[in-house]
Amino acid sequence: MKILVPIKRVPDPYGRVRLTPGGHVDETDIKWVINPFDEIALEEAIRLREAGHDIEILAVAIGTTAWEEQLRTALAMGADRALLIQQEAPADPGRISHYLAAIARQEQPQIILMGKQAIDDDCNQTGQRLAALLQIPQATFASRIELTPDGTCARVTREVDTGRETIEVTLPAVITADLRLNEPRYVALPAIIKARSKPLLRIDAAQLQIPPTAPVTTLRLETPPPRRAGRRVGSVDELITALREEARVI
Amino acid sequence: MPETLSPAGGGFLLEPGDPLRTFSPEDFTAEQRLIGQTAEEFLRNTVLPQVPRIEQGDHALMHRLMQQAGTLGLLGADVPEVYGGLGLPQTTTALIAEKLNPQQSFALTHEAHTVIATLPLLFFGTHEQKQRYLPRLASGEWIASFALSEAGSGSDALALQTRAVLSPDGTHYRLTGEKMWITNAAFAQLFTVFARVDDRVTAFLVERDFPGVSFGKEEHKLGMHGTSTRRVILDNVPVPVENALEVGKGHYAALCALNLGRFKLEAGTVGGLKYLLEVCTTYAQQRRTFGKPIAQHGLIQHKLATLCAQTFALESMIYRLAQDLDSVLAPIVPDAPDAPAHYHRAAEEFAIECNIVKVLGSEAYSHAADEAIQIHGGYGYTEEFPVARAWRDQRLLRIGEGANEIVRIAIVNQILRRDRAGRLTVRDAGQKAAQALASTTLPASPLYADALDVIRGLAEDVRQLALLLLFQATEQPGTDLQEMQEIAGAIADVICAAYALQSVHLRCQKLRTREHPRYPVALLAGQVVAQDCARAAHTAAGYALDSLSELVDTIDWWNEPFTGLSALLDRLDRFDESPLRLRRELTAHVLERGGYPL
Repeated sequence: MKILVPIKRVPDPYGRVRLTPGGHVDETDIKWVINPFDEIALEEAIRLREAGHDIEILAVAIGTTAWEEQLRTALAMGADRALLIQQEAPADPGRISHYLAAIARQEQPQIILMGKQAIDDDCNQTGQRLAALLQIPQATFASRIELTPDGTCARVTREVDTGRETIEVTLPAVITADLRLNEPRYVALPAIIKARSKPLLRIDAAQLQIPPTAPVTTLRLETPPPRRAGRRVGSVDELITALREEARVI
Repeated sequence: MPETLSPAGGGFLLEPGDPLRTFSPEDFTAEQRLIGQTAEEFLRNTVLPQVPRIEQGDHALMHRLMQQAGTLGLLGADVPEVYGGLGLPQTTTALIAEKLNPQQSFALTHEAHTVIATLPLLFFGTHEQKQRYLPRLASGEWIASFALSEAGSGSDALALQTRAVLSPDGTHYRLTGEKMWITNAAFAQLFTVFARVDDRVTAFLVERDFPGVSFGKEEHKLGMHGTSTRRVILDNVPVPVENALEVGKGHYAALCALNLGRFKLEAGTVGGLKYLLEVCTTYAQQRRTFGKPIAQHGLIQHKLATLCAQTFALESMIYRLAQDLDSVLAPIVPDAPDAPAHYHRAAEEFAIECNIVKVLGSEAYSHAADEAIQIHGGYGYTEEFPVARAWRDQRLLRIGEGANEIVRIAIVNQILRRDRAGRLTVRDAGQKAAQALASTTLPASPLYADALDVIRGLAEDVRQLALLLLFQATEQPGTDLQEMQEIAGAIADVICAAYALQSVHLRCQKLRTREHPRYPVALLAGQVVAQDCARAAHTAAGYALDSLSELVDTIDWWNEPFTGLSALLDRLDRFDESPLRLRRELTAHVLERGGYPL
């Protein structure tokens, strides 16, 4: 079985993101990491393999050569090989899902296991779009994944607004990982060294010849207003009054 | 072993160095950063949550943490691949030490195992000995311990009394003696024990289960409450001859391991300083007095800037030295029969620099931990914040692995010994410096091109001053610097300042040449370091010069023909840039980043 894990490179969620005077993200002090939800997806793929399934894990990223650092990390975590679809301009979920669909058609994975969203733009679209493009089932927001013994289906527990829902999807399918699916492991040093010799292939995005998509234009970036200091209230009544009259939320 | 192109140990005294060939953290590869990240995450997510139990001296827990570190490969970084380790360069293992330091008991346990206990075996063991023990140490299956000190011998380690007597049939030695302050004693399976065979100091690999090995109770220490520190009592312990490392080479084994130990402990200090700066910055931004966060008060900003600058200085020295160590260690074939001779030479080559970072690092840590408590005020005196623990723990570093007094003397002795051997011609250079200072009338404040040029100028001034002092203090035949430790210590301080200044200048110059985005912050930190180091050198040099009359014919330093010296000393004590402005600007970066801004 083959599992394809798309990897996005994002700023460290614990770091501080600043804007340059020109309104772009100031990359000087940014530490780049694998999108935490993608890391959870990759960890799950590794765990499925460790549970005894015969699985090949392919990590795919779409970006500049700088993204190879995150692909090497994916290889060190346990991916078997990695693929960089080289392209300069940042892509939106529409284009990303087309690139991933093109790769999926070539590679024919049984599962595309990916983060439910990226923590930078929080779009939460790529997995769903990808399933639609490939016309295969999708199981989003997974908090538990089990493969049937014959490997034809996956039983997925999903985190939904009303609680948890368990569904069975026929493979191939797209599964997107939620926060509680697992806790990714430490990357052991010997695995980091071993990752040096694992294959990492680059292909030019233009080669994939994806159809034109509706462009997404970024109008402007701005930092959120600083959070105002809190205030202690003396009683529940005072709190209710404040919520009703000052915050106007109830 | 191929000749290395990089300057040899002590070479910083003879030339200003090559910026583009000087390693600094900006040169880390993606792989090195990833290794650092594993160490950092392990420390933050697995070790730090256990601080209360570690501090209660739960040694079983400490042992488990070490084994866990072993499964991640964090114990095998220094061990060559052929012996089951990863054989990583010192630039990487220094980074690991840095990342593990915020829990100092854990960091010391790790250092004692991976460096001082393991390296005598790696450096001086035979292939068979290394094959037998190193894989177990690299994996964490066994933890090791370094047993050198005794009740009557600490920094004068080679006065040790433990005896090893060869059995009549020549199959084993009998070891008898008592070792003091032995880190990791509670759970180590292998002890690197130093003992005398007749008069020849020799290192032995003593397994915990050998008959006659017993232990004292845990020492009640000021800090490092999480490390196990006990006496190791050897009562006629039979040790097979195969477990003796080269007889009579024990003192080399100890000194070589200690060189790397001093380097690695202070690599840890870099991480400890960054942690303290982060903790202090967070606190100073939250705690308000007189209507504003204390981070906005000038005297607090002064402290934060000093902490930041000292971190920058030590970091610049440590990673420069790490690369120098790699230049001599990396070419060695670890399982070759002549490996010990090469390891011996390599581990000794940069002893001067290892000693310099030991002094400067441990003293910066002491200063930083003390100021961290001050910034935290009353809270700093409680266990609510990690600064009280840091203060207790770091105090060991000025004592352990060679007290700073003995290390200062060693710096001067090593330099002069190399001069006598023709390896490091500092006295010739010192004589030239003296002539130059006597003959020229340099302008009191030369024209500097820019701020970076000021750092360069100060670095060169302090280097010349160190050379001058080394020459003058030994000019008259028969002068005995050993009898004037105070002067040797002051000269060592000038030498230390020269190394710090030069390392900081090389890094800043490199970052500017590369148009690195962090160059502006580096330059600010570099300027603060330059002023502080120049002043320290000025003070120490004044002490040495005014005391030299005890050693040599009185020279009136402050009149002809030494006007050049007066001018030089003036430059070290008077600056165009306001220290206040530099520090406030540097602090602004610290506050913006919430900690170390480089």
